[in-house]
Amino acid sequence: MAVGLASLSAAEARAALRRRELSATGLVEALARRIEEREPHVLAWETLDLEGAYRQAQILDEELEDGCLRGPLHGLPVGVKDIFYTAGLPTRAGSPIYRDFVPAFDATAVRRLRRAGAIVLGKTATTQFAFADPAPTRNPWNLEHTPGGSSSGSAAAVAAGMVPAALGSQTGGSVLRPAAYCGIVGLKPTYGRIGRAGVFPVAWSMDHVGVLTRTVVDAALLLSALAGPEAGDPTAAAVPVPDYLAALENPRPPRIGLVRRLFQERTEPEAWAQLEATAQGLARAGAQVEEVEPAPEFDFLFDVYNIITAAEAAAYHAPTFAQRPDDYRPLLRAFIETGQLIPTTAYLQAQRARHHLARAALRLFDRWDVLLTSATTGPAPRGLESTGDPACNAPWSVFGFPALTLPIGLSGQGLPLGAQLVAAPWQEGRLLNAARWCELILEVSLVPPS
Amino acid sequence: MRLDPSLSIEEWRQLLRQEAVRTWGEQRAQALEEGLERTAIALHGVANFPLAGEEEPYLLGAQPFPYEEG
Repeated sequence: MAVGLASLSAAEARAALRRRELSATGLVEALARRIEEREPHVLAWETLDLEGAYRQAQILDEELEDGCLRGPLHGLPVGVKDIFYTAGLPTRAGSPIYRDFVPAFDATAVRRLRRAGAIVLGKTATTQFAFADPAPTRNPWNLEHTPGGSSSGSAAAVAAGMVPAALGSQTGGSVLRPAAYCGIVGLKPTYGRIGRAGVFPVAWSMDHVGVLTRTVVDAALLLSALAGPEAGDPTAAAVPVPDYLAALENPRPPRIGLVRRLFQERTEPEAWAQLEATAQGLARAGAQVEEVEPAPEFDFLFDVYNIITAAEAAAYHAPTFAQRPDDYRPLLRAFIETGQLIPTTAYLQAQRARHHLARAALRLFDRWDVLLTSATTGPAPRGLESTGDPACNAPWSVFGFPALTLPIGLSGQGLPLGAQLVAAPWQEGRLLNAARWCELILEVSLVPPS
Repeated sequence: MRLDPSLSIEEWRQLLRQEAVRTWGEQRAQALEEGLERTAIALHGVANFPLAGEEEPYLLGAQPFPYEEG
């Protein structure tokens, strides 16, 4: 069984590759064997390109032999959610409309991964157009439970050891929620930190590119390659990118603002109790933990979120939907039909309200390095008819703040639970530093049963 | 539809349902009940959001968010 190599984190594999203790081809072969074992059960992949990955690994091994290192991800296999354009590889977005679509170019995020030396192992399953109609993917912890969505395949593949890291995207909670359900780390950076060109949109003013990994260090490693401006992609913010790996070198106990209101009431008691116990544990270890109170207007958050996402999704899909409504799955179809009824003034007022709320939310960081709250409303729900509730993640997508899911333990049913850490805009370094400190203190590393 | 803050959630739901029937037909409108309810709540909330100030509309479209660089 290929569990040994397949269980390496991205950082461990990277180090082994650089020490020549491991080859990229050997790693691809190990992951291919792991996929052969687990994929029939988990169904995480839409398209696998193992031959292409092996060929690319050979090239990268030869380059490494010649002392050439393409970048920080040289020789590391990754999964790519199937809403990211990949040159020469099908990109279906879970839709029959794009069944035969093969892009001629890479999405910005994919291009940057390849430029950094990563190997695209394949495309991971997504809900249709990254909305709510479930993909066939199952949760590696319990195949009768959802892995979450919309980055279903990315989360499940990483958790099941089929690949050390994967690209995801989040409009409401599509990176952080599946990461929590599958017991891994999910990072959604600041809106615009990673370019979105070449990604099928859900709601363009709310869509974020994110990463799913098994450790905080791996999330920093991926972000190092992905963050920053990109020629030809105006969606990538021209904001300086710090050294995220250096930000992890000296993890310090953070000042943590625990956000109960809006979240506790939406979270199952068992999951909330686990979060409170985690907060207490972090405080005992030296973190400063106090409750923070969101402004009263935050009660409007979910109204703002619902109006903006529905209106933008309806607008984006309008031309295609008019031609092929029956090719849309039920939840997305209803979302588009409802979204097309929203008055223009409501959409614009929602955007104005969003700015007000975001400014008010910034004040939460006056005294705190990070905010802490539940990553999900509970463990992964049973059944594959739903991908779960994004309520705990949507606020940070509305604000565009960077947020990270950290595994904190298992529920009584043996399913993963996660905490959500949030930082101020562009403060991914601070977020990662705090998350790394928490990870070291908590010592929670979850591996699903085989 | 006018973004009228005096409308109740139920009035919004009825307005949306009428519009759904007109736009998509009775059969589809029935399939949208859950979404119409959610949207009625959201419209009621947005219509009553305490917006004040004059400068912020100029920020829309200028940049994603009014944040300073980190």
